[in-house]
Amino acid sequence: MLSKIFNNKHLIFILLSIILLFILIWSTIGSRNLSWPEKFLKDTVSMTQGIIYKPASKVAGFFEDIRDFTLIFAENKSLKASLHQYSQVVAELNQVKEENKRLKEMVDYKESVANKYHLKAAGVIGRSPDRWNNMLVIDKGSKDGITKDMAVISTQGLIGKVYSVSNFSANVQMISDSEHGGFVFAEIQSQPLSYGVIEGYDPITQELRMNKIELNAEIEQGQLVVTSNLGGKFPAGILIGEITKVEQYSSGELTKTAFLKPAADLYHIKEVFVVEKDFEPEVISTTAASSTESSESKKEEN
Amino acid sequence: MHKLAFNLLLFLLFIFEGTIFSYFSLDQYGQSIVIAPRLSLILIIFISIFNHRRYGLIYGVILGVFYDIIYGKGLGIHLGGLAAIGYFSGWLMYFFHPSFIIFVIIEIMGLFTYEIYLYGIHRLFQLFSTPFQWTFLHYLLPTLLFNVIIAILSYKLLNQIIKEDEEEHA
Repeated sequence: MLSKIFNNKHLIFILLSIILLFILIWSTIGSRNLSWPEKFLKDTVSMTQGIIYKPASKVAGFFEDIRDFTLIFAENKSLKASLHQYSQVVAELNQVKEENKRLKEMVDYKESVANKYHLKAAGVIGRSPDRWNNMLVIDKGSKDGITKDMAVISTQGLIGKVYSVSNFSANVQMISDSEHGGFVFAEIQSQPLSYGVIEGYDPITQELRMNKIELNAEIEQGQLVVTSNLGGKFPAGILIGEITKVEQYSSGELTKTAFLKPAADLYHIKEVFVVEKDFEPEVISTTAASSTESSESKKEEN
Repeated sequence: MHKLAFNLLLFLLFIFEGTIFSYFSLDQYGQSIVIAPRLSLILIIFISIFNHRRYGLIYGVILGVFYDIIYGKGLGIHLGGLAAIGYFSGWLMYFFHPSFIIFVIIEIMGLFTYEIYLYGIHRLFQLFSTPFQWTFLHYLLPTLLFNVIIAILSYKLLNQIIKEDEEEHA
């Protein structure tokens, strides 16, 4: 019976389409620049998404507020308590800043341009419905100056990085995406500082995995992890999370592995900030090259 | 078939999956259980069974491209699954007469195959690395249950749309 319905033509067609499909997936997988038909489709759909997501978030926010009413009294109390501490911290901070400034002047320290950046606010207009991949769609795109691999943060900490950009929208791959691979260069605030790479998310324990930490690094539970300059694309000092567990010798490797709890709330997100680095290596190198050229030409003139 | 109505419905369901449903996701409360809405797939299977498998294939391809471009990591991942399930659920009508029971059985098979296919292909291309057993219990089963219930509840409504159309054409 099968052979009647599935004749040879059909079978060959199905096999060919499976092969073509795999070639298509294999050639387009990963973070890449979108072609214009894709951009067009994505912009059109994301416009509709924006129309629906924003009222929906208002309604959801209203119900969240109602739920929070019960907690407000206790929260207010604890906030007042921490406010007293805050004023003291501010005073201390001012003192330290002043001292820092004075010391910098003493050693003739120049502020490095590598760590200057500014934030660009963007609204969230969609989220992948399943957790096979964890994407946010935001309503700012290449027309607003967003490019691939920029860091994306909320007020609480790092959320992810820009995965693909269209004209008026962009996809953000969240840190809770379970794809493996070098994701973010990170710095542990231990004494002395130690470095590693955040390499993926474990949905079972809901923790981030940080690999390639030096064996003699003195890390322990509760230390904070921030982004590092070493990757080149991210600015330093954005909070990623807090260490919850340290694996001393991970399966015969010569490095340590730590597990982090992400600092940012990865679910109730309405607005994110895309971090734009002012520092661009190409520009710096060209100006440096031109300045050396000009100095050389001056020498020649002399 | 009332094409415009189904086109619009399919597009709206696709949009709802990524916007409104993200507020009902369980994992925002610290749960590790994930329920992924597959409303558009339910509708594609319905069209494929009660209308023609050709439409199942066409809608599957279109919706697959939408998924891949808007949420996916590569062209073809959702496209292959949705197109194949859209086509073969209608193809099964060579053997069965379309009815409510057959609809439910094929919905269960289609939704289950789709999730297994997604798990397999994400494992294959190393986009996902969690063991199968855990994923089965926390991702696949809750998703399947939720969507089958939605499919059963929406059967009557969808049937009405198709019947009204047939009456109009007759």
